[in-house]
Amino acid sequence: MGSITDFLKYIPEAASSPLAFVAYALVVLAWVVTTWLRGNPERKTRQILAQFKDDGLRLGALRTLTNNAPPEGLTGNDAILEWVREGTRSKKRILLVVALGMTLVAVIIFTVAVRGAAGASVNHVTIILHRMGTTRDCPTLPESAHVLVFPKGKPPIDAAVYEDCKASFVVNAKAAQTAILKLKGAGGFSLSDPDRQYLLSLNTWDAYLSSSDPKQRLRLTLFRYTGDCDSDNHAFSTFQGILQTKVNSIRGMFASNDARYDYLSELNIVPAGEVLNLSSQEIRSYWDTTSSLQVLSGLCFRSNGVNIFHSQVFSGELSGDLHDPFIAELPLTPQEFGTTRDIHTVSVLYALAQEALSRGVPQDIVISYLSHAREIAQQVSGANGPQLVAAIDTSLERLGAPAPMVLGK
Amino acid sequence: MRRAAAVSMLCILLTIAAAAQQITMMVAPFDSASTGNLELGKKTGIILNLQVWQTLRIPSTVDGKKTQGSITWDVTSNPPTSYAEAEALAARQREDIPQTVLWGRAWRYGPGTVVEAFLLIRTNVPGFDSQNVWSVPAPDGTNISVSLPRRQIDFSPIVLRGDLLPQLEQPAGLVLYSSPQGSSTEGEVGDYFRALEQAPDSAKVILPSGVVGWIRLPRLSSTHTEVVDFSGGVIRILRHDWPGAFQLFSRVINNSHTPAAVLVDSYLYLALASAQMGQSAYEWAAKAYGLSPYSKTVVQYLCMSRMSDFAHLSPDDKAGDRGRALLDSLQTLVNHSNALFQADDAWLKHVRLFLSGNRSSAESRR
Repeated sequence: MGSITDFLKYIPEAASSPLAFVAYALVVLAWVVTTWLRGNPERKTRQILAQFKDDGLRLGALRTLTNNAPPEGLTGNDAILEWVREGTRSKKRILLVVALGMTLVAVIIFTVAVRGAAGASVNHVTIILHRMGTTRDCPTLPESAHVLVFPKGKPPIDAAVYEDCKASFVVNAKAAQTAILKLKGAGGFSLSDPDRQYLLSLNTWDAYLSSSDPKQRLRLTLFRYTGDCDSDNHAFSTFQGILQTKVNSIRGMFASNDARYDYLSELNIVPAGEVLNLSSQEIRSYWDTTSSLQVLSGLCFRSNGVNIFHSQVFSGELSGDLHDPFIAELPLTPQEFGTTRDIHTVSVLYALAQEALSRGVPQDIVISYLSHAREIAQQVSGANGPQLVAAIDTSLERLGAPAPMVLGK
Repeated sequence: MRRAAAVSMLCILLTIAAAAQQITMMVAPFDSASTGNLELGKKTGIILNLQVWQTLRIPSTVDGKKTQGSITWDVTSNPPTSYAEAEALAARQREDIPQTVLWGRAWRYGPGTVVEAFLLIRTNVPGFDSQNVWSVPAPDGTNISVSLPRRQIDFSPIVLRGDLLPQLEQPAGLVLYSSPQGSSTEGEVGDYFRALEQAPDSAKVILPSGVVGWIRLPRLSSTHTEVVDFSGGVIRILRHDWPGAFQLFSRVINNSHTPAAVLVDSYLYLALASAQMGQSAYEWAAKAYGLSPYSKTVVQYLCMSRMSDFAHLSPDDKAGDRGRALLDSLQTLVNHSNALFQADDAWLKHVRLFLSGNRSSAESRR
């Protein structure tokens, strides 16, 4: 019963398949042709009867038509027609069998079509869009964003984006069927791999986006720190929290009534969700394609009984006079909390200054970033402090910032 | 503020005068979720709250006497985790609208616990002009003004004393003692209380039940934190209690643990307070400049100190060597610092007008 129900369920879909159309054509053709052929002898007999009035001529013509000699003395239209019907009866039966046979073939073809439809399944697909190079970062797409799905051999599907980076649709597809994607109304975002084929049978598709405006870099990509002294990731989570608090406050460090700083409120931390496992060249490429301001990674290790946080900050072309990566090695102790916070704050401000410089942002803004960075860098203890101050001072000098005056009384 | 929220909020008020301008600091509960102990953030907030409250006093200045200072303590809201959230929390208040918000976060870090404290000075509070806190008259009859130095202050992290942690982390409230010293107790302090009296390292409070007792206010860290002095100093600045502010900011600059950015602002507040007391602000602005010579704000305060000094001169002195020296110094500073300002900066133009106007006046007097 179940199999009959399943069979019936797929009939509507199979009915519109190309195979079904072949079956329809076959049935129609078989019946039209056989009907015509079966009626043909009678039609021609009527023509002969209408054309010839002489019985001799009629019988001669009928012999030619039926390949049988009509009986002697066959006269009268009705009698002749009856004789022709009788003479072609077996041929008509054969034609009927042929028509029925072709109908059977059509039914078989249709059954194949239904079975084909039964091989596909209704699938709810959710597309999750990520920033390229991450597994968790949801880019904030505009409300107008849509994902267009182009399944092979099927009409395109338009799926609106919701929750910033998701799109869903329902499709009837077989396991091997694939589709490609296109983005519409997605602002500065585009698909990183527009030719990628997605299997229609899968429920979740991960698609990766690149920002098409690589000029403004406001993203700090944070790879998971690893190591043997932070197995539960607590230190890393804390570090991420500290950095987030700081990043959130950067806009407010500058004049609130100066709109030129407003873009800083877009500064954000993007957790990459994994440990950094790339070569230097790959990191540079990653930094570039993800439009990161900085890419951070690191590890935690134990030395002389103290846990040490080893932080690597990649700033690519924005590293200025700092080594790339900039490395800070900080004991994981409460007393070093401030230094850890300050070093990363200075490093972000310094990179922001280099980024602003690269975009031709007015000089007073670049100087203000460096000025704030310098204030904080002065209090950083250890080797990193002087290193940062020296890099900042070099940048200020190159910018033509006024050298500190010796003030009189 | 919604009525329900108003009821849930403890107000500690030090009333100076009726119908006066009220300067309020709101202390938000500190966020200690990441430590796994919510009590820690709450108690840290209460202690800092009462410690700042202890800095409130009756201002000695005429303007200051017209103000009243208050500290409010929010026990119901979620702890803010950013300046934006602190601002949003303050913006929801309908009574005792705060001009400043003290908020913070606690972290387990390595073997210890660290508290980050932040002060937000709000700019869009009705009746509170943070843009013109210091003005000097210009020759054209207008005033040249500066705003408060910075509206977000990140204090140095407070490394909580290890011996204090058990007390801060226990689920029960802070202990209510019968007296400032001794071990006799009256129970525990809940979320609601009103502070009555200040004493060294303790505050007398009354609970809703009518029980009166003392809360001990221990030092949170083995090193002295600048949070209380700076926050109290800002309240005094806003109340125009210039000598009082001078006193607290002097403590901040003498604290060897004060971070450079807080130090710079403290010097600028000292400059402001000095100028308002009729003294030269230059020494303090110069110290700020020594720490932050590329800061536009610092240069503005330095210019203000020169202009203020000039404004205090007698007409003869303005036209004399002293006046000329001040204007020359100001001119050099302006010319030298041009790159720190936006092209066509209105404030800088105004200072140039101050210079040219006063030079002309001095010339004509000579």
